Amino acid sequence: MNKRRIQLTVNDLIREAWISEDTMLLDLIRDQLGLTGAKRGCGKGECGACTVLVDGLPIMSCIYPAIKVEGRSILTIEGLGDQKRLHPLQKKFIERGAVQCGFCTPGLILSSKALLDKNPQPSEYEIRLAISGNLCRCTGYTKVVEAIEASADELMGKMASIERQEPTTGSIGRSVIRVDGIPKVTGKAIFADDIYMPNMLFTSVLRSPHPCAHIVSIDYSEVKKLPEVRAILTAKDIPGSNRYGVIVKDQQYLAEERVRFVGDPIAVVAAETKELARKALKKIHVDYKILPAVFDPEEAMEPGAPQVHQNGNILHHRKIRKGNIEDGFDKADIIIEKSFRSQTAEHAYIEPEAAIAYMDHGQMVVHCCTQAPHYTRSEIAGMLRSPISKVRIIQATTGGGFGGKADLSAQPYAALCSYITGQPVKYVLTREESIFSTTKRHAFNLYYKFGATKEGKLIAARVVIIGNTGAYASFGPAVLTRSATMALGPYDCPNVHIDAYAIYTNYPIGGAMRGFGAPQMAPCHEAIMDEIGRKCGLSPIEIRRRNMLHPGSATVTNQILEHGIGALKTLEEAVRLGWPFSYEGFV
Amino acid sequence: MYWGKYKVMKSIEETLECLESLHGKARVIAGGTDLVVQLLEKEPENGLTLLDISSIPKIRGIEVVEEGKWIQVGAATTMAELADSRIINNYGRALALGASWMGAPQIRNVATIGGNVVNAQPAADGTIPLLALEAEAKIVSIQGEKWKTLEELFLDIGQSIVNPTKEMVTQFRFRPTGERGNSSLQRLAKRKAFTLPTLLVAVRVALDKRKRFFEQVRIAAGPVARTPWRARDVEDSLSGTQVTYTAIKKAATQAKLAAHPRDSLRGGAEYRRDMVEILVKRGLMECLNLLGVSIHE
Amino acid sequence: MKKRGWGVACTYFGMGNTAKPNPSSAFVEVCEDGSAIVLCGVADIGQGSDTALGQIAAETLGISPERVNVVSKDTMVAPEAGITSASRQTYVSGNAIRFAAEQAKKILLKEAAEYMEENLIDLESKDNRIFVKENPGKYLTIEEVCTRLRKRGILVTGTGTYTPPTPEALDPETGLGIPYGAYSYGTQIAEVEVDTETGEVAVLNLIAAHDVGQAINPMAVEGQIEGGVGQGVGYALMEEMIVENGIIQNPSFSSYLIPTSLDIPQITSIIVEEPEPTGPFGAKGTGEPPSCPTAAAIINGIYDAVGVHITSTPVTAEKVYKALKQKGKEGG
Repeated sequence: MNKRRIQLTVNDLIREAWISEDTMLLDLIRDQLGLTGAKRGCGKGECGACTVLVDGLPIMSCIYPAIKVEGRSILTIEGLGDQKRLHPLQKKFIERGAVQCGFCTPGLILSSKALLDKNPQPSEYEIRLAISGNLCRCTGYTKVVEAIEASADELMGKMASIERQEPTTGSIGRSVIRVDGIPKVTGKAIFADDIYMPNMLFTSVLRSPHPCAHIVSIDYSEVKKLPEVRAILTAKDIPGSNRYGVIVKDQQYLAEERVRFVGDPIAVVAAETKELARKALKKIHVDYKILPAVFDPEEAMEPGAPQVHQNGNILHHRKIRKGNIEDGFDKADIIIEKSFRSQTAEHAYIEPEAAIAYMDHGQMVVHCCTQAPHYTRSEIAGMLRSPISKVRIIQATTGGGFGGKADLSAQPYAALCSYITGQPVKYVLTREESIFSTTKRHAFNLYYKFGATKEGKLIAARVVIIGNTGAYASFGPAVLTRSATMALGPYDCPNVHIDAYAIYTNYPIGGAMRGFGAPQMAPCHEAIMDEIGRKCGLSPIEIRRRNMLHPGSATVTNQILEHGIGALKTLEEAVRLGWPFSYEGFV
Repeated sequence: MYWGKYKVMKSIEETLECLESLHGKARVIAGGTDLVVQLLEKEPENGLTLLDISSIPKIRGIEVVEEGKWIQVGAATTMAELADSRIINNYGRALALGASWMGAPQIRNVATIGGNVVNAQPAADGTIPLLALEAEAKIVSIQGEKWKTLEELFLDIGQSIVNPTKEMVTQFRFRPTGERGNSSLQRLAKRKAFTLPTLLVAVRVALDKRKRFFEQVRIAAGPVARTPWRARDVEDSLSGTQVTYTAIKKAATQAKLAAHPRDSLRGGAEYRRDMVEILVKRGLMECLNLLGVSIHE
Repeated sequence: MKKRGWGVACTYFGMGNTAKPNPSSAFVEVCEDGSAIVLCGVADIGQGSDTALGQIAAETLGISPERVNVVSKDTMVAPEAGITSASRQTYVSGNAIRFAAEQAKKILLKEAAEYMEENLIDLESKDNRIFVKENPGKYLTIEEVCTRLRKRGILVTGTGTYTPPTPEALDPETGLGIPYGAYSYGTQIAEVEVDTETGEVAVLNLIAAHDVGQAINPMAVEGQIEGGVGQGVGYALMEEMIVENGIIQNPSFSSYLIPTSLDIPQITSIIVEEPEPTGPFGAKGTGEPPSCPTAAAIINGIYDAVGVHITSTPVTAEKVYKALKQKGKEGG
């Protein structure tokens, strides 16, 4: 396609750019002008990470055709202020702790600027409304609102003071400004997709559309004919190991014979542009033999269920047997049974997975978002049959993880293509790809039975946790093991019987996600505690006070707790500030 | 390529000429917040030319015309402009509300009322209020121009009678809610911002001089059918009745029974149906409250 | 009609990988001007570990945190520090860094003791100085000490490694054992408002009190609490991966809903400090605990408000509405 030249004002400077008819403003800013502060979080105008100001108004630049800005004026984060002169918003965002991973920060700050330009003294509601199109997954928005309020004050000439009572010497207990604050608020922090290298290629991965199938054949002869495709690779092209996994190495970088969930990778293409890499995928023809799949973990536990892996569908079974459970229920005056189903959840970090890999003097270097650089290094080394010491992982500024960026995602495909082609290779997952292929929070089926005395003391607990661990192990065994140890909540109970199962199904992969089982179980055990309280005539606070772990308590695994048990203190403090009903129990 | 060419139009005439000369290979685009996303997801259309009408001055803006007979809204007026407009807030309140809740601030700065309507979704935040306001749309082509009521526009989900390769909507108009009238919009959604509605109900009410009877009621809702829906039977039954809570309750129940929503990611059919009753009731109550008529449950 | 309710929920959370070693290691180098470089492969994913770990090194060495540079992102340079997960980095890598810094500090103190002719145990290092505890007027700056050491050909470095004390693996049959070296505790209270006609739930207030042992960087700890609560609200009310026949039906931000700024109230974070003896300066982790009890507190609040038990998450308006309708039928 012919490119055309447009002129526009960017951050008060007149700039020229060569664009295609269908270039989006976001790509013009990032690829052409090198201003990588605006980010691609979803590519569909649904997250706000790409927000820039056009003639002072915030817009979603990822769905804004660049031609529309011809002759107009745009402001990106880089134009708001830099290290030498920060705009009050940038300053306050850092000072008030409103910056964490930094990916949504530029867009957030620009939406805030547009607000303050129009409405210099906004109410809290008006602030929240103005930033309601900027999704943030890290901060919970509280400090963002405070930072914007403080900026508004400063811009109005009011003195804004931070009332923190902290030590003035030493380093502990001090809210030291984060060391990477300034790059994040000025758009200079380098995330993996912000790295551009000469001769860079782009990858795309062909993934299974079926939850369970046998691969009969893969025909990519058509792809090989495309001149702009530099590599088309399948399992046989992997020089070293095709098996990986944080605990059990049951996952393949590229499927050899079997695909086990929708999203399971089969082939990878490296081409000169992102679009060509994706187009090439359509020319790969895979012949599948569809096999029966199983999605429900309880169905998968039954004999005769389709087997996801060779060794059966029970990946892990953790048992806890403390005391005498029958005895315990016998002695109980109150017994409460409750079933609970928790849903599959997604990390939804605003930065989709991204990696760029290149060879440097015989060393493979992978620059990527990750929570586990050394683990990544080991796996990549195994895949390429390289000594671990000769693989280098550089963690780029990472736009949130929450457990979803510990497993491998983009790294092996970028590395493999770079190894084969000798060129730098970038792989950035689309939002859909990220959601389809990477791990999720396990859905749990919970079966609880608690027994208590009429004084409200827990005396017996029987818990069954069935975790849908999906097609591959990932952190499954660890999640269910931890779940067993946390299944009761912070309460003392002498007789405990817990069975936690991680069950394979052809479902998206259950992995690590913030809380690792505890968020799924809390709604169940906390509701039971309230109910026991009601049956004993005790308030929700008192029932917890009576049962809370304290020095000398034995946990469900019979570990005696001695120090550092702030449980009751947290109850007391929360009640002091947040419980509207009178409660005297702490006196 | 997602499309072949992108041209910014300077006038209605230029647009019509381009549409004509490109023989169906061109189509109109306004803000693009719906259309661009749709095109990004489809197979690339190298032969398609997009004609951007968003900066044509004549089709952007809000005015009171014909000595107060109509409120006229240019099709390329953005949702943000509608939400902030004093004229719309005073005389077409439901539309101001819908425009203020649609999408997110960044989307509202770009999305246009014309695009919202022509996209023909059964629960569009611009369409449902306009329907209750009994708005009309002016469709212009090289053959001439015609005014159509909003209801006549919709054929099916995503399909309107407007053929964007041949014609364009340039204006909307509706009667201002007068002294004895007002309008409201109720929105049910899965989160408080930046999401498509589970249910939208717009109500327009006009009372008699002593504010004791419903003179005219218009109720629009979506998604409860494949196209934006008017509860005509309910409107007819309420006209001329005394303003009482019983009448409101009865109307709300009648609306629920007439609505046939389906299951979707945004809500189950049964729930939506039940909510039609709640939101119609609330919509009517809100209008009456705004008119200073107090009704107690 | 809108009804209000209050719900409380408590959580506890073991720090580090369950019953498995999960070590971290670190190197510390004190430069000739008394500033320091810390090498430790901790992935900072936004939570602020680079900053907090720098503070731990600074405190141990006795220099100001602005003079510490934490190098964490490059495996070629920074040694292994495990995965940033299990709320372990402050606790585990913090200790590894502390040990490395202690080793380096010993070299500094020894030199200072010799020069000032004092006993080692009478000296303290703080705010870039090494001084006599009983007589702070007698001191050397750390820079002076480093200069002296250099002249003698001694470079100041230290290494450290740590894994949480979990001496007893979990028995395969009984599950009994010591799975964690430390635990974090928390309580959250949610004030909710339920629209009894539509079932919609709004969280009006959220108080979150979390025991972190010792907050190294209070603002960062609050950030973790608030972020965790925010995710908890989403998990409670709107997040759900809908999978049919193995295919995800909602793979986008418009269909998998996470909270916007209008969905979460201002969160009140309360830092509780019950010192953890095995943690660096009494600190333990705080990444995950805040995301654990939020949904539970909201669900309990809903019961308080309208008397219905919701037995699955997310608690959508539709579920609450159906439960209320059912309750109405039963004459409850």
